[in-house]
Amino acid sequence: MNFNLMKKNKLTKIASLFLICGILLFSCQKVLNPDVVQVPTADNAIQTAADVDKAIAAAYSFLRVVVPDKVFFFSDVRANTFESYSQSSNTRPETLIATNTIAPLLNNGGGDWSGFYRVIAQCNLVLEKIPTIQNYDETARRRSLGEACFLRGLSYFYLTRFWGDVPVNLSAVNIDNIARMPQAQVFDQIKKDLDVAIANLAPSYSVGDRAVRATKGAAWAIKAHVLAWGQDYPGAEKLCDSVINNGQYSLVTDTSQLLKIFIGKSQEGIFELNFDATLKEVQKNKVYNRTLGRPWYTDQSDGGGGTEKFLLCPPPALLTQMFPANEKDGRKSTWLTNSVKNFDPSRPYLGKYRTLQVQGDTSSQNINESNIIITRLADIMLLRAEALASTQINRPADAIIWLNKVRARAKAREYTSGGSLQDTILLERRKELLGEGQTFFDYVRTRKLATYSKITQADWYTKGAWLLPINQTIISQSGYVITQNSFWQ
Amino acid sequence: MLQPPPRSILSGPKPNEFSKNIYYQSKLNKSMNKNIHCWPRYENSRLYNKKQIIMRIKLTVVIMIAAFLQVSANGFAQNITLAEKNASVEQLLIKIKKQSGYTFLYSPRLIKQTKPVSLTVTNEPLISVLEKCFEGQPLTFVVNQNTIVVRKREEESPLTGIQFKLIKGRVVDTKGLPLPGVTVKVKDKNTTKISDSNGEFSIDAEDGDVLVLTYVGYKRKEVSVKGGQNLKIVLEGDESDLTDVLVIGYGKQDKHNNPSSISHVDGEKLQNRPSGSIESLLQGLAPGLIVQNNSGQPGGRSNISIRGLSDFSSSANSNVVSTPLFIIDGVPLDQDSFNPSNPRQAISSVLGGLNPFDVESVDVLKDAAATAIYGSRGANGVIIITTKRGKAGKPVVTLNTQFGGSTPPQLRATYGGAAERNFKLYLFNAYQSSKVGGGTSSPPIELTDSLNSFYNNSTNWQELYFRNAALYSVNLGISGATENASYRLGADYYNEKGVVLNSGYKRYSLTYQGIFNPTKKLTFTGRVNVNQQDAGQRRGDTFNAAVVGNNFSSSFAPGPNSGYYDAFLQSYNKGVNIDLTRNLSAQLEGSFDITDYLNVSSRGSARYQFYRTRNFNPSAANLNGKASASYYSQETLDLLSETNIRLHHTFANAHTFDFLVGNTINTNTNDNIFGSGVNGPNDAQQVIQGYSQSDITLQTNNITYGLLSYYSRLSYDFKKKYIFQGVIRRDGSSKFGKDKQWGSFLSASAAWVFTKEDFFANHVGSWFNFGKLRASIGTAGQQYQDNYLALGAYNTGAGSGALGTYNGSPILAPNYSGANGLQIPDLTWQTSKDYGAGLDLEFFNSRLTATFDYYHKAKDGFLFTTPLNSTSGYTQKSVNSGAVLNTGFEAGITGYLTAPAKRLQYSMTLIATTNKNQLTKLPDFGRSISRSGYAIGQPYLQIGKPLNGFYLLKYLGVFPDEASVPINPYTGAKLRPVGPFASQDPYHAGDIHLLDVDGDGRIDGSGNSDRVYMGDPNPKVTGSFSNTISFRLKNNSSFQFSFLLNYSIGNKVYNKVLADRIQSVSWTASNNVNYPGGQRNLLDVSDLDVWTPTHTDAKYPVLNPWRYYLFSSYDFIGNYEGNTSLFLEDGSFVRLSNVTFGYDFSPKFLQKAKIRRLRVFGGLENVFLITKYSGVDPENVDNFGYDIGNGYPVPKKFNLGFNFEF
Repeated sequence: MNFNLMKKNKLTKIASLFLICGILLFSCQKVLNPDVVQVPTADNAIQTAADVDKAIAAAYSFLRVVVPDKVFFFSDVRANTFESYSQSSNTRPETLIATNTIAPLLNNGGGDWSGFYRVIAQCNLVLEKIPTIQNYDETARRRSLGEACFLRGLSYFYLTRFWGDVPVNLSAVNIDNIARMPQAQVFDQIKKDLDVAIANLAPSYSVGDRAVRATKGAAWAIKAHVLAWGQDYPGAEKLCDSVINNGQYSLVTDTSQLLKIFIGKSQEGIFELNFDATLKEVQKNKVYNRTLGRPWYTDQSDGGGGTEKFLLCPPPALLTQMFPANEKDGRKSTWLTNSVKNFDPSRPYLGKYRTLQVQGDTSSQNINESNIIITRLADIMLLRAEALASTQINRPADAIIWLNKVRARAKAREYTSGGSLQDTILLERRKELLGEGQTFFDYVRTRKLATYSKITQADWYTKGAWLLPINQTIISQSGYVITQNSFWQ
Repeated sequence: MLQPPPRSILSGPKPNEFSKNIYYQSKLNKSMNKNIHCWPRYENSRLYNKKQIIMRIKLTVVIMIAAFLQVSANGFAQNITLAEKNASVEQLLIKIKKQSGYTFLYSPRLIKQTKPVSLTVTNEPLISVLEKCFEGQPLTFVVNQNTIVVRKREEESPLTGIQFKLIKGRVVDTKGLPLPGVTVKVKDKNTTKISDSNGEFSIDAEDGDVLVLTYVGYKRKEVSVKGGQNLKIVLEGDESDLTDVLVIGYGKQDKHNNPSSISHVDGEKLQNRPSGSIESLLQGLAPGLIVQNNSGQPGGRSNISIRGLSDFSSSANSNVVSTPLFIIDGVPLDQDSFNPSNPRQAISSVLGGLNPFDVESVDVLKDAAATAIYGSRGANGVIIITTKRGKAGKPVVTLNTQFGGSTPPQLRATYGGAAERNFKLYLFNAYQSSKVGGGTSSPPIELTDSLNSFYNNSTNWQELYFRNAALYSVNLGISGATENASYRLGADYYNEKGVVLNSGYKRYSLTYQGIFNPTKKLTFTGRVNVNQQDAGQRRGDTFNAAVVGNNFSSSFAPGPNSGYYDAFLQSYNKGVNIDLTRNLSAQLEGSFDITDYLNVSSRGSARYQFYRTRNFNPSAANLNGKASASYYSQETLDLLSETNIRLHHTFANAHTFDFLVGNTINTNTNDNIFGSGVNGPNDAQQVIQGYSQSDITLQTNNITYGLLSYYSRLSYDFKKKYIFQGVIRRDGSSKFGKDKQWGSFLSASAAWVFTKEDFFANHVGSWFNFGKLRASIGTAGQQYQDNYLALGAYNTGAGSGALGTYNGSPILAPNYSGANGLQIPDLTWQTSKDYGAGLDLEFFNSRLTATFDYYHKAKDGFLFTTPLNSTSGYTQKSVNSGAVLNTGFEAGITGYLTAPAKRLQYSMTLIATTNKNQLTKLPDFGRSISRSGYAIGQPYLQIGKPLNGFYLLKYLGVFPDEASVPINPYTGAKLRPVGPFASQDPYHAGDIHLLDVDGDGRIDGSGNSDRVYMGDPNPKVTGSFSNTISFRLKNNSSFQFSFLLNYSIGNKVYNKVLADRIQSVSWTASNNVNYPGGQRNLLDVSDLDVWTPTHTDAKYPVLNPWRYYLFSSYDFIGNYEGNTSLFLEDGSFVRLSNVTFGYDFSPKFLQKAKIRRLRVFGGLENVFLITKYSGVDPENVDNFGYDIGNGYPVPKKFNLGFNFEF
């Protein structure tokens, strides 16, 4: 055999072996980054306009998780609008929220704000992803931008109304310890977000999205509340005017159809959280299971439903005050119900959400068919009345017009004069918006908390008695960068 | 005249013999080249090269001779005159050629072996001059007409006049079995022959020659040839040689040269035992390898760990055991971390598909110096399984069969019939008066009915769930080798029925291994294994409880409303749980020797697994009275590509280097589908069909994972005396966070063979023949199981639940609440940092060998979740935190007590492993955390204590009287329990006295405040003692007897079975004999020392099912609730795990029937247990040491069988 040939052959063999090895080595970097088809990941989840829309749907759904309980407990219950049905046995621990003591506040979730931050993180994510989307339809882009800003603004608005100075996180992933920001700056941020929302959102979208997705009107309405909260009544009044004259909303005038407001997407709804039994968008929450008894529920778990003993309902004295026996008011029978035989007729309970009986499955508590109302036209009308009646504007006659529009719809007696107009409007809000998470905020905004709630100390506002405490775990997890509200220290 | 060519020239080995020769040579090499850590085939080729050249020359010679044959010699008798000093032979030959005209034929290579010659001759005949030239040289010459052929001296030609005899012989082992492939060599000559498949050989030798016989695994033997033409030679097994070569991962190494800690288990030790899984058979076979056979299920899994438990997480349901990495013929086997409550995991062992007869050896790599070569997967140790290859010679057929059986375990004593009623009535009469709050209750209705048929028969329901079960297996192996290929085919059938009804295990497997050498430098190896395993067992707590739980221990059948109705035999029999696993693995390996010292090999392998489990619960077994079914199937594909280059050489006979560098690419895909349905229509239908849409759950998954690695190892030794080895591996894994995908794992080890030092040899007798001191340090890693933990997973949903959609629009958001929601770029592997030292000793010609090891293994970076800041929107993320330290000693001592040639052979092996396990770090500098997910105990992690330790309420005795109940000095209240049930009632006389650790006057059975660390479920010392005795009869048939004792010292066991047994008599609602609709079973507790008003000095608290508090119905005082140390026992045990008798028939007798080997054997498994533990079996407990009683009992087994070879 020719040795040279052999040698050559050998060299070729070696060379080809190394070549093969080389190819293997270089082609296998892919091994470390396999295509992940099992789950969407942070790198590939949001790539199209449709993905952004689903991400926004997630933000709404997170808001739907946090708002019902939180707002019902810390605005309605805390304003002493609901108490345990029975005062002697099986008393509901939530009743104690109204006493404004730390244990019941914390035990009922009053110290946990993380649910709102989840909505905010999701909105931040959407806002970060929007600029990265290719071939984005401008209308869709503006809508998504507006919705994300709206939801973020609304979440911060809840946060600051509950806890005052709150940390502001504007990025999708920020696990650092963030210190609390003074309320004024938080409000600047809220207004900025809502202005973006107002600028980008359309007055209306499809019929199916009515009221359950943010619109320009919703952004106006929330901003009106924000301004009123900051005692800027003229500004609030203008925004209320925009909402009312925007042509999208009108009061439901047929009193037999009033409950439809709570089924949702009514002509009156401005912004509400969607629940829908047919879409299985149902979720156990305490707005429903603490206000409705038998026969609405047969599920007795979680201390809910099943029997009147476990209910929270308006105190009799409040009911008498709101709906005097000799006065006609359509809301008496629609807002309230006690149509079940075992019930004490003198203790009606909140029935705004009882439409679940028609469409829901009553075997569990996942039955809510009604939407959770965040704001609707009647609210804005009464807020406008409040603004007009305020000392800043001082147009009581105009205020009475808007007050009477709401009363007229309920077939209630027209208000002409008597008593304090401002107090009348406040009571009207309490009546109209019973169980809709407005009352406590109303009293703080108008500084009437000491008059109407169990928080009676004169300096409640300056001392921060109206604020909620913060959970100790939140404080310690932040490395004590977050501090407790001074009233609860 | 045409003469035949000289025999020496033409009698080179025939091609056939020749390659055989080479083949066997490879075996020889193992012992011959101990200094080279070699692949034997590599050495082969080197030898081959030499021979090939010689052969080529020889052929040339023949041709040339033929050419010169016709040339007439001119000066045959010429005389030569020379005067040379220190001239080379070649120079001389050139001069002689000139003078004589003769042609010389020689190999330039051979001629170089000659010494220089000084020669002065004057006119001397050619022959005499040549004789002087080659005097004392390794060469000689042959004159053939006018050509002089120079050849090696050893191959004496008959032409030179010396007469050889053809010696015939036969080589057998001590059992009289023929040994094929034995190298037979004539001492000081180069004649070498190999024995054939009958052990026979024939060789040319003269009287007085000495034959040297060598065969790997056997002692070298020298036999002198004295007239006898038919020799019979018996080779004795050299036990120390059997463990000569260790598989070290990407290579092999001589045991004496290995500086790390590796234990070698011979495959034979796993054979002929009645078990479906190799995992369980490894128990007690290697120091440091701890196998707990905590299930007696046929083919079931064992809890297997190396050098202690080194896995944990915040959940008590995952990472409970630290399973090592299994490598089968170079292919890693992904072992899932077993979670017994997960119905989607196979119940059978991951090694179940492998049958013991296919296993050549098992190597257990223990320290990081050994496991660093497996990088991010080696931290829990590595177990390498090597399968058998074909043996040379005629095809050998082996047939192994066994038949056996297992018997049900000891069942719990139960009161039956009238005795049960009497005992219940006794309890009622004794305690109903103590009912506080007035009034007496009437006796439970069924007690009033003395004619109740259950009280007049005595049915032990337990028995109905057990049976005597048979097992049998057949195993067939066909192997052989030809000159350039060897093959082995294996077929196996194993069928074992379980002692629990409807359980069992079947295996069908087929293996093939072929080795091909297309050229002598190129070797291809192909392996294929196909197997199927069928395993069945009723799964789920209800079924388990029905079998051995306390719910079925009365002769009184439970009522339909008791909640235990499902335990009825009928529904039990109707239930279905069938696991099916099919494995197909194949690999092809090519190895090429580029030069003598450079080898490239490359391997591709694919492993495909199909697993499915089908589950059906009949209507009676579900509380809602409707059938349910589920189906899960999974396909896994594991692809592996490996390439490595190896350089090795010995310089100056002293410095041996062996350098390896390689690359591995591994990808794994898991596709699975799970469907389940509830509210099934009919018991006759076991599949999901016709179920309502809303009752069906369907889920599919597709999970992939990739690993890319580069590794390198350098071994160096100086004269086999000073040994160093360094390993580096870089691993990149797709599982880890982007910033930490790559990790480096390093190890270094050194050894000193002090017996090779001169001073040692001079001062110590030869009785101390080998001693090696080792030390090693290194790191290895372990990956976590979730492939997508670090990526930032999103949730999607259009399905059910409030989060699924918003206003009909599906949602898409990071998994904010999960541990995988956030992208975690720095999430990475767990690292173990090891150091250790060891000593290997051999005495009396290796008849006594001992290995000692100390290890210190710190593992860090366990996966935990840490809560995140509330303002982030995220709840938690995964972090690498938490550490555990394992330290301990290992010892393995083997002695051959009788002299090698004796007919009675006795050897014993003692193995001991100690382990100290200590938690050293928790996340966020925590001192202790509770572990979730385990309902029976309350697992807890505390720094400084072992993992999985017992944290219990400390039992101090029983309050003999009211006055002894402690009173809280601050509140004036008596001690009372606050959990698991809220009780307002303090303890009374006869109640349990527990330690109030925090002194708050309350015993907190639910929380952690009164719990104390009480012990470790893992043993402090484990090991085994094995003995083998064999006796050879005169006709060379032999008897063997062996037994294996396993022991475990210092492990604690919680006797939950006993606790439940008493509880069912004394307390808790649904188990209470007095509870309406309750279970009403009753176990025999008459053997227990129970407090009664008249017997106050008792061990066990009062049994009082009629205890009330104030006006409420039941008083949840819970004497037998919660986990108290009253039931914690010492679980140390010694078990005679296996006894085997065997008889090998005499070879003479067999030869008549052309049978090579026949052995009959019989064995007993789990023969007896010596323990202080009061329960049935202290090993049959769960991973937390709780004997819940629903584990699969470990049965006693026996087997009979034969091994047949022809």
